[in-house]
Amino acid sequence: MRGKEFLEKLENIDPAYIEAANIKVSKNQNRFKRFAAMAACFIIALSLGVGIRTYAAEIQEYNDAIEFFEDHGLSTDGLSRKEIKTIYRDITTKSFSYSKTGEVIMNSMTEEQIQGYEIWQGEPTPEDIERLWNHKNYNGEFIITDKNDILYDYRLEYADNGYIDFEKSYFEKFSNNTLVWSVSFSEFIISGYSEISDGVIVYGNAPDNYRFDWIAKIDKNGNIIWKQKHVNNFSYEMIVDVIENSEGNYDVISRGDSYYFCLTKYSPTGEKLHFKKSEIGNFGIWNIERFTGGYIALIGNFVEGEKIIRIDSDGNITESFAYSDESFYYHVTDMIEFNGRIYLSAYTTPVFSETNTSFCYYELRNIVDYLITNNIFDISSDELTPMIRENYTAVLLVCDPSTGSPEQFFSVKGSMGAELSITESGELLWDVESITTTFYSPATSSFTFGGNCYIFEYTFNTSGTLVSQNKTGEITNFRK
Amino acid sequence: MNDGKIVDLYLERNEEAIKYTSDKYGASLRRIAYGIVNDKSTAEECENDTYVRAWNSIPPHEPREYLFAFLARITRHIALDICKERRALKRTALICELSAELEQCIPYPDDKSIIDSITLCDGINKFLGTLESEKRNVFIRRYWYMDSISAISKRYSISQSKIKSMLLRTRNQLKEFLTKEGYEL
Repeated sequence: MRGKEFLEKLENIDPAYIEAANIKVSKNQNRFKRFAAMAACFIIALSLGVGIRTYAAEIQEYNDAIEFFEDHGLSTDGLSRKEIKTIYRDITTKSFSYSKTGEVIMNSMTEEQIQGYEIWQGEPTPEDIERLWNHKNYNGEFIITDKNDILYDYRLEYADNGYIDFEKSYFEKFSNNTLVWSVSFSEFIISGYSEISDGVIVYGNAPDNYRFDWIAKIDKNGNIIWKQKHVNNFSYEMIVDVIENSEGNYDVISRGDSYYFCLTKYSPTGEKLHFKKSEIGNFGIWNIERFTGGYIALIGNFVEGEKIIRIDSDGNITESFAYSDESFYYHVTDMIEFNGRIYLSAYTTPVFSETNTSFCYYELRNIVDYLITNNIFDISSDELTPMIRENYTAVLLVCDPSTGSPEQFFSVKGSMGAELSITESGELLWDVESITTTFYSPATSSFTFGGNCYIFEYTFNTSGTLVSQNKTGEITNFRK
Repeated sequence: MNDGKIVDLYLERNEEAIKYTSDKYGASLRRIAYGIVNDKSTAEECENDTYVRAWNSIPPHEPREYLFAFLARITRHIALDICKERRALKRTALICELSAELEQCIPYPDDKSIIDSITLCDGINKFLGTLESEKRNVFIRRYWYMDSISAISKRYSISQSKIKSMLLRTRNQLKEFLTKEGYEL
């Protein structure tokens, strides 16, 4: 047996020993005992019991601080005992006002240096440091709550028969984090929902039959109005979205047999009114938006890229656009109708050369090829990030709705176009993710390049003119 | 939430069990994984895989008294497997170092005899039971949690040289124990 096998066989030692070795240790016990022995001489003279308790409390706080630093990968190098405790209190009380706190957090993230700090004028604010702390602790996603604090959620329940068998789906409405109502379905696993004028449409697939989905209507009080199978005689069909149209009926968008784009119309009482299928090939339906006379949809796959298709109100595909040129691929991430135009949020990546030999993710093939060819397995963020930033440019395309031709575009280097939205005052917001730090992780299965992006927000007025740029302070993950 | 209640949630197949597990032990599990794989994202993967395996193994297991150890064992196993499968160059240096140290405990390193894992574990547990708690904890922190010497030194406020000599003596004692008890490895 080799030492490595022995190391593995240690796995099954008594769990009580494993737990005991993980218990927080009261450090400096030996020193404390010596101090207590000396201090005992003074107890008679003064009420030094208070002093001992105070000292014990200080030790406990210091121990807690050290454990906190260890748990969160923070370094104590160069810090005094007092500074360690101050930073610990600064973070745990969410004050973030101590001058050294930001520096300690940043130093703990040196592998993913936040270059975005260079953009800031002067010292980061407590809010900046708190955001950085939240991001460090894997809270990169910021939850945006509904303005009315109404949230819908769905969950699954499994049967307790020794196996993980589906039993029920629950669809629930919350207001101000309080459950308002809950509805259950045993026929299908909920995969999505759409809000309509008088309630919600919920849909999903049966656990043992992929030939059709189910669809149900729930009113605002949580009553199930109707539920039924959504059947169009495919071997496999999946509902992508449900949109209430201008006539008050429901347009159900689905993908049939991984080959057809389908539009099925239902009346408010659940009566099937119309069905149309159109061949699109093996493209997923990634996004769909209402547009004059019908819809526009973003379809794509990871081999051929994305396309925009225009669909009339009956489900016929009338137009199809793709965006590319000799030098760049365009990757559309979001789209919206605004000011009578179609706005496409996208990012470009270079067309890879024919000399590339790698088989890795195609957006960054040039970089992966360079790293592999030169046997580089470890590269600093300082060196890698400029290479990756050079690979990406965010673009906002303003397109003619009838031809799809871009009439205007905005670009931001080193970034990727993200979400589009419209404010209450009718302005268009375009989110752009600026790549600020990156790292190379060839051993990770779910991605090869990681890092962080800072989100910038661009505002366009009702005339389509860019009026402002704002650094939101939000951070999101970069994963390719 | 105490461990017993968290285990109850698993037994009820309530997905909140994962959330409470993550809140209570996520950071510690990530730290164990990171200590082995030395990659943040891979450590996150190990943590997530731990939750899946915990979900699939409670029931039949009901680790009410030792939930952390139960989870930590899964995480350690996953992380070591990842190192093996992916031959992560970054981390095999530590595993080689620990393996080399533990080889000193093996009575007959060239013997081709195969020993049953359970029997060996019984032997190691018996040996660990003979140690005073400080020595036992240091040994487990080094070879189970794979802490560095400096991390153990900070944790227990013992000098690094004392940690090293303590580990050396413990390894020698383990070898002697296994030899006396008739374990041939």
